[in-house]
Amino acid sequence: MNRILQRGGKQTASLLLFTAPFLIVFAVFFLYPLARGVVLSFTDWNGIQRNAVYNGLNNYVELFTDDPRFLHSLWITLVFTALTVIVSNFVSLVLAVLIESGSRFKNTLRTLFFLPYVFSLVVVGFTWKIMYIEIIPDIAKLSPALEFLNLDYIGNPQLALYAVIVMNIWFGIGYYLIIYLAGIQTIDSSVMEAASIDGATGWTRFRVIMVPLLMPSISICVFTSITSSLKIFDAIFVLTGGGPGYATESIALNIYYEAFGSANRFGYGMAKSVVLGVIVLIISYFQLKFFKSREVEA
Amino acid sequence: MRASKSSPLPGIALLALLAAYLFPVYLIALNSFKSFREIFESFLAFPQSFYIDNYVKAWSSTNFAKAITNNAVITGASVVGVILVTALAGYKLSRDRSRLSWSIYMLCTFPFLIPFYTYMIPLVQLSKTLHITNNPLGLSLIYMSTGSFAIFLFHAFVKSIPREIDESAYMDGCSELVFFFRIIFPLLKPAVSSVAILYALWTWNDFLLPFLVLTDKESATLTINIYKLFGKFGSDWDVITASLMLSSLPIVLLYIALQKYIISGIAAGAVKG
Repeated sequence: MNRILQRGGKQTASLLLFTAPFLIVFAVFFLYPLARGVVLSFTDWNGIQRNAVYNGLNNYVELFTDDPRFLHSLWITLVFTALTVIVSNFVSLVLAVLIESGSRFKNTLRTLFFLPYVFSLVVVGFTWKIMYIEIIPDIAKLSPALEFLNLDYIGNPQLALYAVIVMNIWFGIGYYLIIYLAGIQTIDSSVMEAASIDGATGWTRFRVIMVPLLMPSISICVFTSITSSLKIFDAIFVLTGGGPGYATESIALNIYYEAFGSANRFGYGMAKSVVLGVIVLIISYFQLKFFKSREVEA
Repeated sequence: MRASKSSPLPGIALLALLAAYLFPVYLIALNSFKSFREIFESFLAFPQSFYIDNYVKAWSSTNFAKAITNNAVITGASVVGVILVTALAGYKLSRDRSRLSWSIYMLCTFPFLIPFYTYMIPLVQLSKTLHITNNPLGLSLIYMSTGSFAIFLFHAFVKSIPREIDESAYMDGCSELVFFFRIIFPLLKPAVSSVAILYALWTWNDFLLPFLVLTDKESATLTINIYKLFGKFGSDWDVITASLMLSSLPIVLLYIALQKYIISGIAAGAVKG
């Protein structure tokens, strides 16, 4: 008995020894600020005064009942996420299937489609800013048939959100493509051949056989694209700064302006952050659950 | 008749699609070699001569030499730090089957779902209190705390290493830490390279956190300096396109040199994830 206890103690000591280096930085730079943020979300703290005044649920009530700009940013984020997730996963999955099925330049295609992903989103934002305000209008001038392209992509509130979404999809496709290509390579080619012999044509084969077998990859990509879209900041910040007006302001930008803009309402900004965190948690939870139930054994 | 497997046609069609996809990158590259006048006349025209003045201006306007050093220090220290602390933790948490170990693992991996903005404000305040703003190494410490995903990867990878190896080493009476670095760590190589690649890419290109804690001109990273260009140069596309190219060049070269590892590293990271 004594020996077991001793071994248990030793085991615990070694567990703590191995995990301590991470746990220390983790506690200082993640757990502490997170906990402090949650506490501050119930105060009117402005980042300067020493003592924050506790004001209960006031911040939370205000952001849902008296802050149309926040509610708008919530809506913008949801539209942005829905479109980005659907289009980028569909396009990269189809592209992966096309590249994998009998293309000679597989490596070149994979390498170069991934290229934009190594750029920082700030570089990507400026690249597309130049595209939208200079290059596409220049293309429109080439021929009267292209005149319809001459639009104010960033300045028009109706178009700006789509301009941001297109840029974000462009940036991310290569990443999802790599994951889908890796997924396709794990599919037993005899399964696909059997399907062909049974008379399944391209689209049916894709829908009935490929997609179910690729569920694990789809699950990863959808999960990654949902979480990264809900958190979108850099690209919008650079391309439109949230404008025109608030037309492209995501939750993350809204929080940023609340805390670091002129208002300096840190406590209120924290309440918004907590709401964003809860939304991401809830959506991720349901998404993981949904896909877990749809995975099949290959 | 349907195209057979050996037909080059689908491949060529995809290459055309790729060309369209990379069109924005091509145009930025093209215009970075044109004078302002040429750019002003048309964005689409080919440069009349190879004009490299833009790059000279870009070098100074992005404070390139200093900024790239900062980037290298931050990325290098963060990646080494993350690998060190998360490999240790990931290995032990995977081997130790106790309830405590499971709880620590859960605690360490849940932040994967927490957006940075949720704790950004207090984190920036904390960095000021600890006097680690404007300090590349201080920023690396913060990046080390984002090692959740790495712990997750190491935790999964260690399962593929047979336990017998551990037991034989204990019989030799080797101390646990020595054993880890001598025997286990080399076996983790595939996971280490996935973690290194993913974290290097993230930290090298990260914007908001460095933007908030590296406020001093001399400690700024490439991404921050690029962001500031727009305020400074408005629409001086000659300097801006050259700066975009120059600042992306190091990571693009690295990508071309290591593409095989980067692509398999990302695929492996995702599959494990």
